[in-house]
Amino acid sequence: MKSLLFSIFTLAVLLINALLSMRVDPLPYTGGRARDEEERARRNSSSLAAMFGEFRTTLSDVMFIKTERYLHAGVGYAVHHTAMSAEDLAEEVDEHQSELGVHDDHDHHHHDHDHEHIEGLEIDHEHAGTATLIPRADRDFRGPIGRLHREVKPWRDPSKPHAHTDGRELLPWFRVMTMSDPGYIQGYVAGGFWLQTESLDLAISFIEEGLEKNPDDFQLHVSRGLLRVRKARRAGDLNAAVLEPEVRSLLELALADVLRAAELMQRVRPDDVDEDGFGSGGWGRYHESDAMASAHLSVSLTRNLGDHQTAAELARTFLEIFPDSVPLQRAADPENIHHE
Amino acid sequence: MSSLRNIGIIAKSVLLEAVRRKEIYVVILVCCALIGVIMSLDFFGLSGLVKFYREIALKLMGVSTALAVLLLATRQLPREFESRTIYPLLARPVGRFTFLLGKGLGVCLAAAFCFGLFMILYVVGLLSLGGDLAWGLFVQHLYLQMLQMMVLTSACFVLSLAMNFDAALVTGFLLYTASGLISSASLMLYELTNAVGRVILWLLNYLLPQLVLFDLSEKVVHYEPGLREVLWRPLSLGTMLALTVYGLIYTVVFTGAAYLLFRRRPL
Repeated sequence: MKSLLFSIFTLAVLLINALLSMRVDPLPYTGGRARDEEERARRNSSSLAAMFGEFRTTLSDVMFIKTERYLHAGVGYAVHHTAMSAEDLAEEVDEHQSELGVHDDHDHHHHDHDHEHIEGLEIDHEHAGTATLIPRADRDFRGPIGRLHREVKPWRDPSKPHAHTDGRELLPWFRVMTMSDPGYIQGYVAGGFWLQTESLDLAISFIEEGLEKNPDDFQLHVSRGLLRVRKARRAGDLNAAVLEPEVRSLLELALADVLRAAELMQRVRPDDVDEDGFGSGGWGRYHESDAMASAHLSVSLTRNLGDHQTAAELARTFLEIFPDSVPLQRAADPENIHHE
Repeated sequence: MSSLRNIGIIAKSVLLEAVRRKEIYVVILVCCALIGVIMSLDFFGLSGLVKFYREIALKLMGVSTALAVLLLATRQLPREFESRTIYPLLARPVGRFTFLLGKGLGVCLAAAFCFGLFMILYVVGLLSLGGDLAWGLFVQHLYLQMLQMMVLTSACFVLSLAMNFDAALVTGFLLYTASGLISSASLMLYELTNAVGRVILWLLNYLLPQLVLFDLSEKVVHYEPGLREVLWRPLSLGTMLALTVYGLIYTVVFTGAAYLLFRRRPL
């Protein structure tokens, strides 16, 4: 009994110590994922990182996978929703809102994806065929035990389309994963875009929370820019000859976001990015997609705000980074400056 | 008839001891404190988010009850030997099998007491959050959890007779935690291994009780009241019967093994 109480006491002291260490100098934990050795060494010298180390980031990854399980109503599939760029996420959330009957009057558009809507569930044919963690009877060596396993756990025949829930119940996991690892950018980005189904302002403030802890992360700036564009779209016509004051103000803020994102992106984007979007230092397709979004949005928002000349100059600058980008080539073409 | 009475008396003494001692309450208090922290978390000021609570609470409560069972079950027999209280007991007309059954029933009743308290707290917490309870699935989950505790108790008896208390406790804990892991790992490894490996995996699959089969919590968590025909329906009677038989087979085998070890043990 005494040893049990002592263990509980020790555990409590460790947890309190961990919580206190977040507030104690020197070496506060700053969060974020290190891209270079020096940065990694700095982060790993924090007391919290020393205590929990990789466990923090691993835990966040586990929780991120958990959100996928929640999206599929508990059915465990092999991971197939890989890290998504802010733009892809925005599209994904749109699809869910649309399929579940949550329409945004100003922001509703049709999608070509093979989805249908049944009784509050989004039925996704696109990912049909993705293996389930518990296999089908013909692929399960366990016989009757396998059959019971499929009955007891949430399970769907993997050949059938996936059933997606509305995503609202995912939100606590994004809260917890970013609390446990404030440097988990994907948690903020994905959480922000799911949160917009509730409220754009909530989503923006969540991204801002991420920015407080990771001020130099370009993807968070892109995310906030995209959310502000969405907010502006709800407030009025983005292509009007004379923008309404609220729309203009929101677009200016969004432009500041994406310009800052583009600036930060250029600092961290490696030179060896291949045609699939992968590069050294852990640069992935979703980084590349957000990098391009920062460039495209910088140009298009500048144009929306009426400054066509600057937009063309920006497009020419960004073409040095993304020479194959058709939208940038078009925007840089002097003939298009006053016609688009 | 007197055997049944003896089983009842022994079970009652185990239950009373478990209730009087403080371990169960400490486990319950720690678990409640953790659940209280979860309930106090603010998720963007949004209400009606219950799946997170359901998942964490059910997992914590399941693990806490299993811990209480592991502590109680592994301790029962070694302590009787250590304190020599087993001698006057067995000097009476109480057979060793009756003694084992009484102890097992007592541990299961203590588990039911602990789990019952948890479930009252769970339901109160869920309703206070405005969540819906899938009654059918929930009752089935409670039943299956009790079957799991029964299997675990009998396994702990074997372990505590085959090794010392500390080793039995750790091995029992490993059995409980690794069961799900072994199950999912065997599915992956089966595709990668050769014929001999596949035979070993197949044997392991039947030799070790698959405790994950008694955990219906995921369906309880992901139950959607508006979609109860799809997400998720209670298990069929046939499945519940099959699970009961599955649990009973392991309980009988483990209790039999424990009896054999107990019988060979010199007093």
